[in-house]
Amino acid sequence: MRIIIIGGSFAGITAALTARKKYKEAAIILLEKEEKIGFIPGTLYSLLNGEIDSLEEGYFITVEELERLAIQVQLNATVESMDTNSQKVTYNIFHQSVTIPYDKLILATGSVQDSYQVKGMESNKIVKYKTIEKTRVALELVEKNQVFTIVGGGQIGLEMADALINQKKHVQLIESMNGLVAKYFDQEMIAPLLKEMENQGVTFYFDETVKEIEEIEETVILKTQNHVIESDCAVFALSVKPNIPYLDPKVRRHEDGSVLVDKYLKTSIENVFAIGDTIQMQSSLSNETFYISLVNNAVRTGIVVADNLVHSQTPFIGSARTIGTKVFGYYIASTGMTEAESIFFDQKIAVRHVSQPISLFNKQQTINGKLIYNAVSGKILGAQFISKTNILEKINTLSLSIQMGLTVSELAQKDYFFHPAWSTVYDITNQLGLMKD
Amino acid sequence: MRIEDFLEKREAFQVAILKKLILEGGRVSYEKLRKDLNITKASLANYLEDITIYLEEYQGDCQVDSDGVFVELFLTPHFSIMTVYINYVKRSLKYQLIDYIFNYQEFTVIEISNDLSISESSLFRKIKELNSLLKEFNIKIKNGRIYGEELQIRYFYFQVFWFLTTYEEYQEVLLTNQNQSLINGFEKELDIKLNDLSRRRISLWFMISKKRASVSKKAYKNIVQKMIPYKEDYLNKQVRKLILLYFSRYSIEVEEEESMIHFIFLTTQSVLSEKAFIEYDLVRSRRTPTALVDTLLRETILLYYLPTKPSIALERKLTFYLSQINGTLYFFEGALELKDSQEFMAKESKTWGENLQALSEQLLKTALETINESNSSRSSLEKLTLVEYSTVLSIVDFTISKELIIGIDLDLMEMHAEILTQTLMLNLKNVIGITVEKYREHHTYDLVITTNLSSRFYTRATETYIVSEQFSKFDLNQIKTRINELKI
Ligand SMILES: Cc1cc2nc3c(=O)[nH]c(=O)nc-3n(C[C@H](O)[C@H](O)[C@H](O)COP(=O)(O)OP(=O)(O)OC[C@H]3O[C@@H](n4cnc5c(N)ncnc54)[C@H](O)[C@@H]3O)c2cc1C
Repeated sequence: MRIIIIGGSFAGITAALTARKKYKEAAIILLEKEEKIGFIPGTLYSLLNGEIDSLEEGYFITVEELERLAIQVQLNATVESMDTNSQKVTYNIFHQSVTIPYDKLILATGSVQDSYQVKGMESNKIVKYKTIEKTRVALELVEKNQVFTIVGGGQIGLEMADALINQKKHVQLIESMNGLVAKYFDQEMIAPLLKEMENQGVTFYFDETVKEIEEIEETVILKTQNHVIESDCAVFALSVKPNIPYLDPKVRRHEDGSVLVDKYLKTSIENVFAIGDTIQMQSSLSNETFYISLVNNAVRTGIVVADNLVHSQTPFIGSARTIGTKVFGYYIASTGMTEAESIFFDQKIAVRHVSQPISLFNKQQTINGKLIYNAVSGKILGAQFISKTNILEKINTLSLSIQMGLTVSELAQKDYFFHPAWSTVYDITNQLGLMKD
Repeated sequence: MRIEDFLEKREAFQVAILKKLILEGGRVSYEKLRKDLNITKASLANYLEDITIYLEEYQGDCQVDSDGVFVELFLTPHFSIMTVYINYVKRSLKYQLIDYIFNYQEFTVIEISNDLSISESSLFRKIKELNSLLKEFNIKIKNGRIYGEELQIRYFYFQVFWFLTTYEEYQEVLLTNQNQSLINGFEKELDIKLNDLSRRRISLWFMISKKRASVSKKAYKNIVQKMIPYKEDYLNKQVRKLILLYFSRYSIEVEEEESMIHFIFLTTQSVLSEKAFIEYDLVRSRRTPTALVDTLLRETILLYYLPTKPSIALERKLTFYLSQINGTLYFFEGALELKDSQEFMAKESKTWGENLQALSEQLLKTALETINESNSSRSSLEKLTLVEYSTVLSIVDFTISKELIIGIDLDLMEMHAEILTQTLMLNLKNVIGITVEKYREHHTYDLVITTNLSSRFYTRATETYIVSEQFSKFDLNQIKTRINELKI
């Protein structure tokens, strides 16, 4: 069996490693267009925040590690087309076109930071940082400029705002929705963070959508429906788009352009699979799919796909959409649906807020939590945390609860450790499960 | 345009034959068909042959037979002739072209002629024909894509697909879980209930919208202009919030204008229920062009019916219907006519028909002046609007007329009075919108039919009509005319 995987990042690499263990005899070929594999997209802030010292540290794996396992890695190989009739892919390597056959094909080319709607995206004064080259350019832009306008108030935008403020830059942020990280947090939860950002000098433009980016001499001008915003540089922090220009048109897509797969991650065409940021993910909460670009989804689909290459046997259980980060001194984490988003859910929901000291002996620091659950069945649907102490791991308890279909009363009885220095008598995740009455 | 405009001449005739058969109750003489369609005997025979072949796939569910004298249509009870019409359209090249462009958004001449197996020259010819149809929608096909205001492009596809999507297809293809969530969102966020029809319309609209949303370089010039007065509108803001949240779940980049498009759709395309609309009407911006036209036209109509005052329920219905028509007139261009304009009106009387026409014209004039639309020639949408105003007026008329109460008071010998009353009642039974009863004192009547020469006697009646004992057809006609006049 000849397995070809296109894209050497979280999804593709995980698929290669898992397939290696499962199919000892198979030839596994990983095609990657960059000169290295496994670059971590958020490396820019780690560098700016001093968590790492050089770009070279921004990789999670090396080619050698894969080659040791007899996984063939073809670097600098950009796949340009595929033909599902003859089961072949064609890639370009140093200006040469090479066509190779496959028995099983896994699409793992992820996503790009780009916009189809904003005019002027080709400007050199837009900071992007998903790939290593872009990150190199971005570093230079950050060094040389002072005023930055971030387009997009999601997780990427917030992290960049934090990193730039730490670099003593002036930051403005434009967001088309009426709040920050609105996909993951209800605004009352995130209010302290917003305030902190304002205190630290971030200027906000909410309810504004960028239409055009224009370079005028040394400045960039961002035009929204109501404003013309000037700065030295723009930062692109809108959500990413599936990166599949080479896709055979016979492979079905969703209306948003991402690849449509069944629960075994198989596309509409035999022997072609897709994972990671190329697909819409099954939701853990309902019978629908979303586009959710997250590393954990890439990794987990990479594992599951290997199981299904020969027989459809392991369904992908879906994504609860779990995130966690630290920005402006706040640790924030979210999983599942928000209260705002619950309007799309066909059942009645209820919410519960809990606020408590972080540990028995540390009464200064608090942790605020919110739980969203099904008012009828009590099933847990979503949770959010915010604190100045690192409570990020707690979100994983809640995401597991969602995936396992736990109810609030089951959560209330969850087992946990107690130690006076490191925890509270009543763990917040249990407290969230204690409904009023 | 009409949906049949997609068809080639041959197919258009075949559909015309089928329609004629349906209209005539399933059986028409060969001669009549030939004359009505203005074709030779040979071509009729030809078309009938085509139809027979065409209908083979329905395996007897739909069949046309002819013995040379009569042509007859057979349909099994569970089969709808719509299926046949729809397939005619779906197989037409012009339709396939616009469907192809919808699916691929951009195409090269080579790709499209390959995929549809047509020559380049016929491709160009068909595009030219299509463009002349699309003209009224102010959109056109050029350089491998469709050009025009985004709202117009979606509106056009919506009209066409709405006609062609069967209920089954809707269930299978359109009512996806994603659309279902959106419908939940609309219901919860806007606190409204959507019925089955609205759900289907929303599903189709969003299928089209999601597909179109990712197209780059969309045109929004007119819509942005037209939406300026709606900036602070409550519902507009709600819709914006909802749309941004919904699209953020997918890899769809939302432009500012995207939510405007949905606000327009929601408020003008029979999606909101009357109840939902009336609630919105209480809080909507009063100064928007559509709100202004709605009020003006409603007042004009109410004035027209004075001194009769319609019930509150009727006034609401009127407001609701007008808002849909006026909204469409303000925001859109072009119309897909699904039925012939004249078909709709069951004219009660000629006078009434003429009055209705005049009033509709007046409404259209007022509407166009208010929204500043000054076209010298009448567009197809304006023509359709006129028909729709007449429909609304008919509804108002019909409902108001229900209140017409007629009393019969005959000053005759018991037995004669009885028989004449019965005769009158029987004869007036089929006149729509009246109640006839034996006259009761101290009751109010719109019309009293009497033998009493001193009409001043009836102070509580609007009109009286005096009959003689020799009640005649002439009397009956007079009474009916009087009733019609009272209704206006
Ligand atoms: C700035 C930024 C920060 C982020 N931070 C986080 C975070 O903290 N946590 C989190 O969970 N998620 C984060 N994400 C999202 C995360 O990066 C993605 O979900 C994840 O990278 C998806 O992995 P993937 O393997 O599917 O695709 P990608 O990581 O996009 O990798 C695709 C790979 O395919 C290669 N490729 C593309 N086209 C071709 C071709 N034609 N031929 C050959 N090779 C090709 C690319 O070079 C790349 O190596 C972040 C995203 C961005 C943009």
